Amino acid sequence: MNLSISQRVNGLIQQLALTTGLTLHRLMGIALLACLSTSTSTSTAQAVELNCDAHSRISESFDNGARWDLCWESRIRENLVLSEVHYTPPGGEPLRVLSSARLSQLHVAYDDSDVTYNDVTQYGLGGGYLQTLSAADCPLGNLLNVQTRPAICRWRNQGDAAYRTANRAATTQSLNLFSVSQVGAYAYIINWTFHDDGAVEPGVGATGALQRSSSDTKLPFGRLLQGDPDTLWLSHTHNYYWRLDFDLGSAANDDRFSETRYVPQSDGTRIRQTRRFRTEQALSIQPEMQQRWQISASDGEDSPAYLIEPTHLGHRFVRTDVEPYSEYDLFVTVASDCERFASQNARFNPDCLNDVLQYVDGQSIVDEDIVLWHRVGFHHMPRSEDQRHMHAHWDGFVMQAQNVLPGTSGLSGLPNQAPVWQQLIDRDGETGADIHTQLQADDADNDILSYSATGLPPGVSLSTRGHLHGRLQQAGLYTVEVVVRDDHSHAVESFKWTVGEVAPVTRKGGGAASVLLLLSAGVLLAWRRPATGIMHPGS
Amino acid sequence: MILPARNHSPRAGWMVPKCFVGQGNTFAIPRALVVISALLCGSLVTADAIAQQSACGTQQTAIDYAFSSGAMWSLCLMVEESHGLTITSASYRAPGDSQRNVLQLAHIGQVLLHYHDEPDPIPQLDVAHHQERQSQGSDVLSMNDNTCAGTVLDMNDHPAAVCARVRDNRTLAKYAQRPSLHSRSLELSSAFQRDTLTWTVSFTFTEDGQVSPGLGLSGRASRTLADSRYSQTVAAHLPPLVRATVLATWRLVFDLDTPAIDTIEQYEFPLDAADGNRRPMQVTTLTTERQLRANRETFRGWRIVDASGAGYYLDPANNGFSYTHPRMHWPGYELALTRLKPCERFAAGNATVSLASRTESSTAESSPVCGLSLDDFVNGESLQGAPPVVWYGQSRVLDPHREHWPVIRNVRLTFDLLPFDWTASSPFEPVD
Repeated sequence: MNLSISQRVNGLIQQLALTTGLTLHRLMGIALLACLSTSTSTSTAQAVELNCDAHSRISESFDNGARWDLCWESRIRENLVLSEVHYTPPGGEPLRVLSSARLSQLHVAYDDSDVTYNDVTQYGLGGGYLQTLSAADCPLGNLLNVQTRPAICRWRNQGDAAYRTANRAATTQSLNLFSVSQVGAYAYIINWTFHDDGAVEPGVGATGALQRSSSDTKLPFGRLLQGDPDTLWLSHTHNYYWRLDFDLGSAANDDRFSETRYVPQSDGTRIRQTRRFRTEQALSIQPEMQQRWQISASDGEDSPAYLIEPTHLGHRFVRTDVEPYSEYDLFVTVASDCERFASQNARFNPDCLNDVLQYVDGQSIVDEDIVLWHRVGFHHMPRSEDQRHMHAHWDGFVMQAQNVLPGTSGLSGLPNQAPVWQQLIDRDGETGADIHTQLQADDADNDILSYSATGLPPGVSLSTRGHLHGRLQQAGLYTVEVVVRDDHSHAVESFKWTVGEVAPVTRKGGGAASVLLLLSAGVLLAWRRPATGIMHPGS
Repeated sequence: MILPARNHSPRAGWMVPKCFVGQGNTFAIPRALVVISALLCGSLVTADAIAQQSACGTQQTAIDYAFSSGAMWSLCLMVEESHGLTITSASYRAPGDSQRNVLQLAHIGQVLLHYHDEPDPIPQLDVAHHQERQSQGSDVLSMNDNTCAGTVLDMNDHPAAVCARVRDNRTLAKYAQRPSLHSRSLELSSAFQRDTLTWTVSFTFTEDGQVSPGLGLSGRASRTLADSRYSQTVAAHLPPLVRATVLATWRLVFDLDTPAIDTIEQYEFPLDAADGNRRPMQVTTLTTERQLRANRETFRGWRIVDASGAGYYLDPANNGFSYTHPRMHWPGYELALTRLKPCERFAAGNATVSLASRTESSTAESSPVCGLSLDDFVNGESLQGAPPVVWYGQSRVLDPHREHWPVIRNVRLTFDLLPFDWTASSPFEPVD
């Protein structure tokens, strides 16, 4: 049974819960601490030197050998600001990912258009708006103090599937940090998730209570909820803007930003088009292009990068008369201390521009420290279940690591036996012969095997399932190299294939010629020879 | 096939509270599964729970899952070769509420895998493929301790075909200094293999009544091509791997609350720039079959609602991509509504089902003959008098990179079905 450390701990604490009568959550808390200390002590990843004191530093190691290191602080306006965020892949070197990351605006617009809030700048998410948390708010983790009171919950979670094959699977692990800010009736749970595969997932849970209502129940801007026929609760949109200062390269000013589109062609194919931007940009999604954005450490195709897929953009709040910046979903700007909030920036920085669209003023981003601003929105139509305290609606996005790990996360280190070729034979055949042969290899782990070949005679191909098929077209002597792969490793073998010309047929009796052709169809004349293949460990 | 409405009461089972859950949650499943659970858990408490006959069909397995809050999901499930995990007769009991029907049927209605160098996508659900492969065994993957982080369940036709996992969710609710509420969810999943790819179909049933269907793509990327317009090099020793778009289309038949036929409402909030940038709510009852696009700027969404007013909301908030094809009409729409017909099962590649229907109709000429795809299914028929079928599609691109080798990092597509006016207030925190 191939259980992770946390799975083993989970199993253990559930047994303990039964036998000791302690609550599961209390035991989970104890177990979490044990789990954290265990994984830290067994990890091979070394701690990264960070420029913050021990209290403001968070380091988390995972079962797959990966590690996150970062600093945090709580500010009056933005509340949680993360800095010096580093990811160390399993067996790899630390990668500086973000020099800072934060929620830079929480824009709320009501459908009656009477009120718009910019909660970060009008109120703030820190200071007095930051809620003191208790153990009941953080049952699966531990609390961190902001100054003198507990206000941040740190916990580790077992998430979705990392991968799945016929015989193996792994689930992701993640470090989660959240705080709660009560702004008016709303309680915003500001969350950051750091996955063991290098992904970063900012998110906000909107809970608390509905904020605005009207006694005019005929208005078309909200809904009557059950049990309260005299109150119309108003619909509204939450727009979350994150400010992300990536630092992927060796220096702060060497990151590249690009957009990739998969452009549909008239014949049904799709062609990838990637555009690297050299000046500041404001960009909108184009759902038919299935586009995505990358920030990378260099120009190389295999450069370490982070990828933003706009999967959570089913709601787009656009009100350009009032907020011209609302037309766009992603902005790229040159880092400036003056550009702190996505909107109402001049409120606290009078000598600076006011919103993120104004920051996009044509500056070159080449050799500059660049910042991404990403907007995700959610239109909230009240439902009866929102009474009296509503369930959290979670919104956010994932930034996936690309070309950061050596391969599929969670696969390395698992016991594996390489596939073994069944004896291959050299082949003879003549042009025109049809080929239908199954190549075979064995795998002691019963992994799915995939096959590939180089050097095949023209007209013949090898399917990924090992089916050698086609028709010999051209005489010659071919050296064919075949590769079989399981989930971790592969085995290479080669054989020779001699293809001769078909002798011209000068008399009637095509039946006999066909029989001859069939007999020479590449599978009969062969001698066996010892295998000369070599085994390669997985990449 | 129209399935019988199920009884509102919990069904037979033996409580197995150990492996799955803590804090008094219970997971009631048939006796055979209890034995398996006991083996996995290492202990067993056979507290007889409810002695009532299951309402599930002969090929289905009954599952009741009760949370410590009193919330409960009851459902039947089976694993079909052609659809993977299929949920029927799902009902939810909110704390303090009665058990009420939610879904009559839910499964994946088609998965299109479109390699970017090919003009056409490959349907991954293919009845003909299964019929051809019958002698070669099942494509359904067996679960074991290496592939299931929860508990493995047997289905009648497929041993060890389902993984049941109970997960902690993020905070459910928080207000000022009141202690947070937390919730859990029950995730059921099965997986099947197509060539070297692995597809995982899952349904997550949360304590607060949400249902989240999900599809995951993993396994081995094996299509190669040396043309950078369509393919990507992931390792020096490998030929470039071809990119692909996945379109998952779900087939959902609701059976909300009372026996009355459910209706579908469309909600939109268009900006009225001429009226002070207000957004008046527009509600349209959809009474005929149709195909509809997501409208991200008007926040278009759909509510399935019972005559009692209880409903579920399908919000395409997770839908940032659209899939289009020059010769296929239906994939360009995120939603389609059809009148329930048993032989309209696959959004594309329905030919085999349709052909079988035609054969049957030779003895009963009045029987309807079904079409080949959603483009045929949607033909303006009325949605009144028969349960409507909700077809919902999402797409995503697989552009391989180093982390996708040797096994594809799970590419996941999921969305939420949210109880909407299902209860008069939060059932976890009643109005004072």
